[in-house]
Amino acid sequence: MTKRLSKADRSRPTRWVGRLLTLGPGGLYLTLFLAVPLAVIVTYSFMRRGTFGGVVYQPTLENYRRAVDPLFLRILWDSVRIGGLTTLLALLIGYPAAFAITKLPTRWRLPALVAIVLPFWSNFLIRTYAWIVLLNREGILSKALRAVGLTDEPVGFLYNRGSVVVGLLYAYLPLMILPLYAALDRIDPALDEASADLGAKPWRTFIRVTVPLSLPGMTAGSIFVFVPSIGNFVVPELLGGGQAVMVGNLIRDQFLRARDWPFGAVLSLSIVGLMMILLVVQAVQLKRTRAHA
Amino acid sequence: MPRFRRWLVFPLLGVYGFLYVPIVILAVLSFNESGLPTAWTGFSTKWYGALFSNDLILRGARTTLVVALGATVLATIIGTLLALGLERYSRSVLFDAFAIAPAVVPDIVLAIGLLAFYTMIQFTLGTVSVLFAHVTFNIAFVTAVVRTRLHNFDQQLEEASLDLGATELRTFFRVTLPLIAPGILAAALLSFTLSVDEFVIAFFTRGAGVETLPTVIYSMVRFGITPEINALAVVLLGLSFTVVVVSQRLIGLRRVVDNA
Amino acid sequence: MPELVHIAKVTKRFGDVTAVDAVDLTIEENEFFALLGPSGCGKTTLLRILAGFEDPDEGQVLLGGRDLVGVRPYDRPVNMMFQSYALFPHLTVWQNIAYGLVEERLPKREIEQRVGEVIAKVGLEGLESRKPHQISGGQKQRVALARAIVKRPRVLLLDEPLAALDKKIRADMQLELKRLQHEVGITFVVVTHDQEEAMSMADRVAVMNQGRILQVADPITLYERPADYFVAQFIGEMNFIAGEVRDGRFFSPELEGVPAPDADAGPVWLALRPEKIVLRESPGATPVELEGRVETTTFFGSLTHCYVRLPGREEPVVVTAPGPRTFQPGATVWMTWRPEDAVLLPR
Repeated sequence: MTKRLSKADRSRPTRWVGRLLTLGPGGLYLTLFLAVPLAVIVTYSFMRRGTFGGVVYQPTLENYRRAVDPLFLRILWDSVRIGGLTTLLALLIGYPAAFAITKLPTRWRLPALVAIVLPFWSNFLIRTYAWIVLLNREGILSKALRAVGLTDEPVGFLYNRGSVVVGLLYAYLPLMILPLYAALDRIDPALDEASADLGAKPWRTFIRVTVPLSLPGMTAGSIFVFVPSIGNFVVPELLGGGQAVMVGNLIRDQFLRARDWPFGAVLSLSIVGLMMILLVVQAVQLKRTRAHA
Repeated sequence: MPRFRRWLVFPLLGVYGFLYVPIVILAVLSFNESGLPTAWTGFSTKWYGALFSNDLILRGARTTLVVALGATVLATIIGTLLALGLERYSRSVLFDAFAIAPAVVPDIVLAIGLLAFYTMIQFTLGTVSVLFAHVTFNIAFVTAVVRTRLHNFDQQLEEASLDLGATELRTFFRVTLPLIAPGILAAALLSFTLSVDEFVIAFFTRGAGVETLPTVIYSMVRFGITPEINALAVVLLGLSFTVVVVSQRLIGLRRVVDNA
Repeated sequence: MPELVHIAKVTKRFGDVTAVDAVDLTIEENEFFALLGPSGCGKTTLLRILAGFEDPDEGQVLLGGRDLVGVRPYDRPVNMMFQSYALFPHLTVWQNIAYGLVEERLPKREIEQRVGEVIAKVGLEGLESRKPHQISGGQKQRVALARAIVKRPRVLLLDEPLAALDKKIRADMQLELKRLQHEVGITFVVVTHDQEEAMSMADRVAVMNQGRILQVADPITLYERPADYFVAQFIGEMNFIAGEVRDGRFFSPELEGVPAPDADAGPVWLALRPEKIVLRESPGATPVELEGRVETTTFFGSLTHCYVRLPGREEPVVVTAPGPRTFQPGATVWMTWRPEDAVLLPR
């Protein structure tokens, strides 16, 4: 839509009233409930922790020094690995699915997509709980294995990294499939035909045309899966037991148990930092491929 | 013509299986008399009875309803105005980013930021603090949804109205608002659903003794298999599906997918 | 010239619609051939059948004697220039042109040499490392063309090759395409809805409508001696007079017995090009004559269109004459023409 902002228009008093009435409340609200809280976290990250919790307003870099402690770095690295594995699996499972949807007859595509999103609209905790029911020692999978005689003993699949990855994958897979579908759907079908016409077999076309052109979708989906995965503390707790501690758990503990808010602030900034890096990567990539869209 | 390669159905069916089998199992178990996944002891609706007489769950549901309704009303008003302002009166990319930021910032970061902020200004934690926190991220979603609606809106319609003698305010109520109403309604529904399901931010900003439905579910689930949860899952799924169907009627399936 | 492509009884249906209806067609070696018709006439479907993107429901497509039906697009010695050009947006000009040669697994050296040659041939030097979004429409068209001819196909298919270009560049490209076709010695099959384009470029034109081929001929024959009412009205401007042939003469309400020695008896159209009609201020002594009144004239610079109203006829007759107008609106005029300039078409 073209915005017609003529000079006469801009100077009219009604424009200023309109501006104030529309942008004012939202701007004010987000400043108060988003910008200020984030500023508070940044501030706290430079403060000392009080003896009984709380914050003492004495500037220090101590929290950052603690954050590069090997113990914490190991947890961060673990989180990145679990989040990364989740993202990779989501990509490997999600790509063929998204690709398949773009190849469905037109009238089936939307229902197929809605069916991908629908579970996402049910409660996240309940979806995680479903996996406890499935993977528990007394759960469905264990029972099924015993029924077919693969094992005599109850087998538990919970409380390891694998179950955490499965839980995160289950939670965020639709967030991978949607941007992938959007990217794949945007590819001009004439490009497939042109590739075939020039002598490329279907799998060659897939590698030389489809994959490179869907790269922005892969990046977007990976960010949508990776960022919430490493900040998640519910899945590691419910499905991982004490076996997998992730950054999310650590942050929660600093705020609700250890009451070391300044250190918790630093930890949460590490997630924000990771997210920023990924967003920059994405922006650079988008700039490079901008013309494709 | 692009030919559908038949083997492609298998990964697709695999994904649907992965997504739906756990949900279907919960739904089936909710009617299991024993309530346990170990054995089917007969069909029963007793867990639905237990669910609706569970005081903790009912109180949590009440709080959640208050939070979700309040947050939806506030976020819909603020977000719609913001969408209008961003489309009509602003060209600032920064303001655009600011308006979408609450949806992008990881929930745990927003949660502890708000907790720290509330504590600093000594705002009493409780239903109201959760409500205000939910308004924050809901604004981002409402703004995004209403903006897409405004974006596909022919501005000449407003100019026609002004030309025919209606003032700016009359034009807004007689032309703009009716035309973007479906978008606003969809945004409100989305906002309500997100709020009902939201756990992390509520968990941090609720304060002692206040429970929303998700925080109740959290404490129940932590103790392992709880049969009432199966029944609750079915009830909540039913509600979510209804919302999807209603919004589909209002704005078409395309938007439901785009907004998720 | 030897026959290269032979299309026999090819039919293609989409649901209830028959897009291509029992088409027979022969295209010769080194020919510039055009498929001309309005949108939806089936010409693009026929092209896509040649490329291998559609399989015909019935019939045969032979290329140099080999049946192509069932052969996948990537196995055909046929290449296509797409209407949208379909350039790969993530690849450079050079990579786009080399795309098909890489699929042939040619040695790197040969690819470089052939791509270099074709780039010179179509005049894309200096743009090799640009991406498609960094070049102009005309340049994109050259890339699409280069990408196809570098494969040295037996037949090059061009789907509305000039449709996406500005009017001014279009004229240049028409010449350029003809020159290139001559130079590379590849059979070109062009699909177009623009009759001027087909007439000016092609050696032979097939006019299609509703899935059928109505006439295949060189441009002059097509213009001078259309074989069908649709062809006659689709190409250029034409006046039609409904009438009947009896005893070697044409009769209509307006005309009494114009000689038509070769025509079969029955209802016919008498078709007459506007420039074949001569206007006079007074009647001559000839049976081929119509009296009318000048309604309006429109001046086009090099020529003038004169609309002449005949009594008892709804549509005016169009007459073109070189230079500015010589008749005032309202003037009574007599129209005449040489009998052999009129075409009689079955009605």
